[in-house]
Amino acid sequence: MEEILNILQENCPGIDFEGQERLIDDGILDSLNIVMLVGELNEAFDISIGAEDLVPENFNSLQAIHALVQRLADE
Amino acid sequence: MSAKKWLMMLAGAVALALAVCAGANVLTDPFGVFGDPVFHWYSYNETNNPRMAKLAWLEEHHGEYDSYIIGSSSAASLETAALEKYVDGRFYNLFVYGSDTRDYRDLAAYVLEHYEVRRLVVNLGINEANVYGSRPERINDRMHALASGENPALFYLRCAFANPRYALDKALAWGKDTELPQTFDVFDVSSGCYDKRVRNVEKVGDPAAYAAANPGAFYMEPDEDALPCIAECVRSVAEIRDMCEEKGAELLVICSPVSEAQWNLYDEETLRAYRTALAQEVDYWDFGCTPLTYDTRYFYDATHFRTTAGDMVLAEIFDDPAVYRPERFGAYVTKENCQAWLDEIFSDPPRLEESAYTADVPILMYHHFTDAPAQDTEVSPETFAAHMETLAREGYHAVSFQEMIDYVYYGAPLPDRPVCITMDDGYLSSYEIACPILRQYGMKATVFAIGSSVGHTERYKDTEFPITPHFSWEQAREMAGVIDFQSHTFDLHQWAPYETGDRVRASILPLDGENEADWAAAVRADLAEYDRLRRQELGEGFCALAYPGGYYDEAAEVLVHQAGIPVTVSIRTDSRNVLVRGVPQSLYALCRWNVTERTTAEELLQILEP
Amino acid sequence: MRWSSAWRTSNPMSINSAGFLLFLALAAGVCYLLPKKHRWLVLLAASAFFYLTFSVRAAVYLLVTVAVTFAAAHGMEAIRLRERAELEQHREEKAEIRKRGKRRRRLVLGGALTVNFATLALFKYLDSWLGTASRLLGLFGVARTFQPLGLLLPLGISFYIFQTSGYLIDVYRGRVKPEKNFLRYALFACWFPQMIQGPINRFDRLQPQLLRGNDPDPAGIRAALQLMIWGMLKKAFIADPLAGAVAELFDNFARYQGASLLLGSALYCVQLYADFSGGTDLVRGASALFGVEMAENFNRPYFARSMDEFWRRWHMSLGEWMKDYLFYPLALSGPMNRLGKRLRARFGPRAGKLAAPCLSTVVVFLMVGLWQGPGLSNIAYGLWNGGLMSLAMIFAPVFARVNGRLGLDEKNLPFRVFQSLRTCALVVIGRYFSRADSLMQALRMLKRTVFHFGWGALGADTFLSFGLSGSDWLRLGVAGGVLLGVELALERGVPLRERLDRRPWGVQFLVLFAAVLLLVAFVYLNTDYTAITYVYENV
Repeated sequence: MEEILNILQENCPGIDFEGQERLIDDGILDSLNIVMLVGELNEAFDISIGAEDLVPENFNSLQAIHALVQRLADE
Repeated sequence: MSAKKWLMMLAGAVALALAVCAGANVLTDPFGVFGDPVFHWYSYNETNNPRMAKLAWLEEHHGEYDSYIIGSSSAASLETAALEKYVDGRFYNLFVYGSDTRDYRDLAAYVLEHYEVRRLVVNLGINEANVYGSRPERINDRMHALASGENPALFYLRCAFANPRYALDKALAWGKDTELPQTFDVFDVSSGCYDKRVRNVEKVGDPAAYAAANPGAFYMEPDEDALPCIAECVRSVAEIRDMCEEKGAELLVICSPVSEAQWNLYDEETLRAYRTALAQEVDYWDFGCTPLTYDTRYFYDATHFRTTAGDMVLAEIFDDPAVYRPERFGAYVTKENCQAWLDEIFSDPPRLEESAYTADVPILMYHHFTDAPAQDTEVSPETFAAHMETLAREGYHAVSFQEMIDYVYYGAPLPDRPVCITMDDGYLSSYEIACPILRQYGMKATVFAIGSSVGHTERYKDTEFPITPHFSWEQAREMAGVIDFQSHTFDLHQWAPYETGDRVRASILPLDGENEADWAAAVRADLAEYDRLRRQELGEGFCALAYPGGYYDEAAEVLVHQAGIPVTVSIRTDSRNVLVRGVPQSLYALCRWNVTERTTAEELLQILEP
Repeated sequence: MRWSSAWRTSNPMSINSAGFLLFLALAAGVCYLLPKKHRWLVLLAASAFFYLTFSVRAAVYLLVTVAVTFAAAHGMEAIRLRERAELEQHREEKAEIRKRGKRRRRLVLGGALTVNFATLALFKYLDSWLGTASRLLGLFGVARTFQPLGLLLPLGISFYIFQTSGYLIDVYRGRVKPEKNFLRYALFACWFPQMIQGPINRFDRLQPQLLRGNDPDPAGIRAALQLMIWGMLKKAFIADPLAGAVAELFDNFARYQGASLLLGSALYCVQLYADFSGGTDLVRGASALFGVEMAENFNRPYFARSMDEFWRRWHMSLGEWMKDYLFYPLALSGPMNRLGKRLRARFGPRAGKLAAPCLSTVVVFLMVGLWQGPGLSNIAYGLWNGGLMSLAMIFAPVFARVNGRLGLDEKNLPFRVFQSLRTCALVVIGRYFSRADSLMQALRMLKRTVFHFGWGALGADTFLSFGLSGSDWLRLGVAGGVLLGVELALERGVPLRERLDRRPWGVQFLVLFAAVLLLVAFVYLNTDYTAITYVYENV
């Protein structure tokens, strides 16, 4: 969780991620952020987030992103 | 507001909007089917849709007529007034656009059934064999329910819910209406003919100028299916014949003049088939191919003959010697002589040499004669004499405007190499200097005198201002035989610096901001005054008008034509004055070439024969 | 693409005709009269009727696409089921089985997508390519020419191809369960309001609405009708009157000064917006009459403060389709990943991070350009947009720093206005490419705009003629003013509809009556008015 938050804050400075539930739905993260973020996450956790995983449900909150990373790391 | 309420409001708004549109259509009545309650503008309605508006007009006014002309827009050139010269009857021209003989039949059936009809004239061109029962979608071309048998409720609904644009256009056109016909009001309501006041003064003589002014008017697309509706057309005519017999109405069928462009579109076989089939059913006058066919000046365009051609047609039918017609002008065709007649026109088409019916008459313009000419309007006696000498030597014959009129209207001959010499304003020098010289060379001329200044030798009208001396009526009478005396208007050539009022009429054109009616009244009064004066002094009215300063416009030409003046001259030099027998328009806005002190004999001849 | 190629306008079922309204009323009436479970059949019948009135031949192509995609989705589902069964049995080979299943599904998906986009390309580009091929052969002295086939684009082909392809990818990704009933699936693919010019709907959002058997909802119907009225007004009183002037300017650009050309391109932006958003409003309204909400396409795009934002507010359903089904897969693909790593090694972490999104953006907009037509001008249009957005990504930190120094931020209204105007200017320039007939024409026009701007032309009589009369301009001015006012108010968060709803009924009636009267008098009773083919109807 910590690590993910660090990556998020590094890539998207100026955004408060804690407590946010609608990062995608409210347009806080745009597609550029997502792509850069996914690259970092893939690198850091040695996972492979594919296009099929890029749905709002997976990126709307810090918790959701964490869950996604967990799930992919398990597979 | 609840959604349900809103939906009801929407229904209300839609209903109201439809009602507003229908109301606008009924009140403005662009097709004249609702009685035109606001504008009473029948000419506009008929232009929009003659089928509807003319029948609507007749519903109210059929008591004023007892005879009808039926045909397409070319039948507009059969004028009711001309017919009424020859036969006892009150004619209404019930022509409609489109040459569909089903419409002819329906209209004939309706008037025969519902009105008192003594005579019916059916005009047939070529197009009548081209379309039948086209039943158009466009509301401008739809038949009135009275004649079509359409369900009246549907018909009136359709008119009420017609494109509101028609209502708007009519209201807008109302603001732009003028005395003269415009594209949106081309009908003369009481006769049903087109209002041809403007077309009757258009410039027609010079073929090059006429072609340039009407580009493409005499081109017709080649027609693949050659007259597919001959049988239907002839059947309609036969039905009309039967209906006329039943109702005791007299029927006259005219095959009217066809232009070369259209005549040549079809092969002989097709045209023969059309005429032969027609002759099996009715006797008719055939003017389809005549000498007129071969000259566009007898036509407005490829499918419409001029009113003057219509006048010739009627004069031929009713044998009127006072109207010019060429040789071989039409025939009365029956079952018996049909083949012989067709053989004649196809084996030897009645084409005439142009010289047999046209004449080029250049007009020279002088003003003042003086020993010391200082302007282009002044010529010395010596130069004038030299000019006359040149004309005489080269075999030119001076002609008067009356001779030109006789040539055009009655086919009278003109001398070889005709030329017309004119002098403007009526200066004393015309009497003292020009007249003796003309006499010497056996020439004659026409002076366009300003009526109000005749006999003024020292002062401009009743002012203190000095002017060039003008000759008197007494002197005019002395010049008779050498110098003819026509009009430069009575007092529409005013000289602003010498006038007292602020409304100076320097030309025949309206003053700035003058309304049409006032202007027309002023022009009419001026023309009448000149005519009265001339009658009083010389025993006859005038026949030619030179526009002061050369300024004129269409409306002025119409006014002059309406006043019964057959010739007008301008100071333009952009076309030839080609007089055409049977085409009165060839006498309008004639060109004149100004001759100056510097004009040499060669230059003079150059003007006469470029 | 060209408004003049209006071969479909005479169709009896033009969505701007009174006939279409009658059709809607009948279809909705029948639909709501039937029991809930049969209502979807009415929607299907209405869709079939609507499409068949346009062209029976095109309906065959549509049917082929529907059948192919239906079968492909089932194929993928079958593979997924078998994969699941195998997983149950052979737990130890989990990864292997998954991989094999995925490969198979990918094969099916690839095949179906190939068929789909080959069909689209065949209709859209074949003639153009044949012409190019003939010319190329000519260059090499081979006198072989290919006759153009003159295929007419089947109505809505772009939209149903995109929509069914999106569905297939969703099935492949396991995001949606494939529809088992062919007719139900056909309804999703052929739902008639989307056939003219989209929007491109998503299966998971559209399908449930189509099938659930909606009850008539007065509030929804009211909103639907309002939307339709608004859309028709935009189309008839702004887009269509402008079309002629824009065509005059683009067709005869050499007669006009640069200032006029710039204005012409700006007018085209207005025309296109009124046309496209007006048509979208109309069909979304038509769909909503049946209780079916289709995807949004516009969100007042000309107020966008960057190109990126513009494309999120203009033709949104295409933008989202591109993002989900092209941009992400591309940006996250193996090659992109490797490219990023290589660039990172050489030019630093930022370059590495930006490579994938920038390149993918350019590719996406190339596709958007090509989607509009096969010409070089369309490619240029794509590059212009993709390039601008990539540059914006690359220089974002610079801009941020400069803005920071100048003390400019989002709260600064003049700065926001400036940003919007700047975006509009960039869009206007881009439209030179998308409206011109060829790249050469667009470049010549741009050259004229820059070097023959002709300030003098601004005051000349001819400046504002373009074949329109003074009263035409007056009407356009009023209509444009109303549109701008409404959009400005909505952009600033003024709830116009709610406000109007609170006014006395007389006021509401007057507004409604004015709109209805305009439509009745100038559109529905006006036999001279034939709506110009929607700009995006022939893509």
